[in-house]
Amino acid sequence: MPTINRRDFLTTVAACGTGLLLGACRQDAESSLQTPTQPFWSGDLTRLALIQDAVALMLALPTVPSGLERALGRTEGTPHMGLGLPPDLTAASLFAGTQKIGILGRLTDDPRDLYRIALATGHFMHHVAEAQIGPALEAKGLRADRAEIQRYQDAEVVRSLLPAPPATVAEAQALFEVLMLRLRLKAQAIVPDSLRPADWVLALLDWDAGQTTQVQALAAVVAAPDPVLQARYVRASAFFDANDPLVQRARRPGAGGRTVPLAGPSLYAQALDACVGVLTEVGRFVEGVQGANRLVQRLMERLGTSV
Amino acid sequence: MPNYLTHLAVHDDCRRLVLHGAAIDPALRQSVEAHARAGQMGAFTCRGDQFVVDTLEAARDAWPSAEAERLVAFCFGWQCHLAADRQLETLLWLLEPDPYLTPEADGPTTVSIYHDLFLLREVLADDATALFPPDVLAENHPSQAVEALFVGQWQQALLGLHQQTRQSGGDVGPWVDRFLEHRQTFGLDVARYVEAFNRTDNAYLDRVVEEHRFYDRTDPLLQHARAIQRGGLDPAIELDDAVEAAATQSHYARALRRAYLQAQAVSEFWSGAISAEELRLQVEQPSVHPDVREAATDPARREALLRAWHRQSGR
Repeated sequence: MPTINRRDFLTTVAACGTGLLLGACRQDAESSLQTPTQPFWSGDLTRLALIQDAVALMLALPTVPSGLERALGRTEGTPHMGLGLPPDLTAASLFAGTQKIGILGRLTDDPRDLYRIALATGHFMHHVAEAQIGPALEAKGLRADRAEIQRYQDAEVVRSLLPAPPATVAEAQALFEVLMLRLRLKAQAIVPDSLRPADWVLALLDWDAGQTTQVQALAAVVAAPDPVLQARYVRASAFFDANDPLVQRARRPGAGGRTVPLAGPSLYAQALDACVGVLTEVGRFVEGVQGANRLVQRLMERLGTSV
Repeated sequence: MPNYLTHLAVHDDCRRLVLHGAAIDPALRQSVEAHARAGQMGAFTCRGDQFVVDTLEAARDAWPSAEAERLVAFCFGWQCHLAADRQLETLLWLLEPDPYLTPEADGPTTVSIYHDLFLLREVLADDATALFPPDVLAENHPSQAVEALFVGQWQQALLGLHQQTRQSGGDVGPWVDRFLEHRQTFGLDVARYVEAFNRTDNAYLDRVVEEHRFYDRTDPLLQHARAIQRGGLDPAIELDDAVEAAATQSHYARALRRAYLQAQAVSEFWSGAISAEELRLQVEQPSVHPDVREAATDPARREALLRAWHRQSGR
């Protein structure tokens, strides 16, 4: 007889960081590093935008390795989900299992291999982005209200992507309302969990309610940010510069160019540069230039952590 | 298979019937009335045939509580989804089989998009509970620019709710398989809806709605649902008679009838008149008969099955 162990379930979910799965942090190497503290910066939409921009930059390069192109381009946005690896799974092990490279020197077309690469690559991009932005914000003393800082920074990124910023909060709310309905059309139907379905249903309904609230709060900041908070959370920390050459190239991938431009000083551009660095390393792996162990070692160095 | 708007319309209409139906257990009616959003989320969820009965049993164990009510309302929506699939998937297979037969095609059929858009205008557009803004299918909507970000956010969140993918047990290969099975896809291109909505092919719409009896405004069950929606009841229509008559009427009316009969079965389960196993027998049925899948490649057999499906009734 199924029962509702809702409290246990929600505790488990919280431990894993719910939808954001922030707790699945730096257990990246086979040596299974333990960093139980939750990272300070967990920029949600910001990190997704960084991965989106980094992938766009890489796919626009004429020199993009074919295996990387397939892993990024044929896996339906899967790099985004690299943050959600279970704590007992290492990104290194995801890379390691894809080595059919011994024979061909190339990544195979097996979807499972492509998804493994996409997930592991996304996982490392999430963490190098965090390694760039988190300490910089902490150094500026910005850790008072993490959710609020994040909302302001996410709102800045969202504004930079919209063709025109909404003039009023009502306009922003309407825009996001349409977006949420369109996402439902796109999804067609939600796939349920097959373990303890009643617990899953309640968690889904909680997520739905929370998500609605969060989107409304984001819409308010997108349209009408408080000037003092905007100055403190976005401008003073040099968080984002829409004119940065790296950001501009990412948003106009058809503009050409055989190499990636140098990043400017904004936190976002620096993090984007770090994400591109991860993609470059993974590109060398899928081409057979470096093995999985070497790859993971190099990525851990980028994270500022030795294996 | 039917898409989101069709599932939502069947839910919203069946909810109207349940709130006005006599043969429905008060616990079910109370839950469905109080938690419309939970019901709509249930209608948005697939694979209910595997989980509805277990979830209802959990709800019965937890009754009375707000959580149990939310579960009951969600299961009601989940069954509406199933009812729509049972009736309409076969129709969709027979009308436009090619996308289902091509392994790499995972988008919905054009017929199913037209059915959705018909119901958007007929059922959902003026529905106070569904909240469809008029520009939801506007061309070049600015939200497109941030759509991918929010897809990523939803994918992360929904994956995070799956216990199946929360542990790997150190076994990477099987975990990747579970990930591929449980990850949420967002494969539909909304531009297809936008195109069909703004430049509707009316001849095609007539064919897939009227000629194939997808929806018929003269069906008493649909008249009843529309009357409730507009704030009144047609005294000439008895709900039970309308449900009975719908067995051989339009496919949407038949889907609604199936959903209502399922709600009655849940009601019987709740009051103890039928067991969980008896309910399970009703819930766990394939949505498309294997014969239909087999016949889909043969135009003559398909046509014969389509004619039969237009006539057939079923629970």
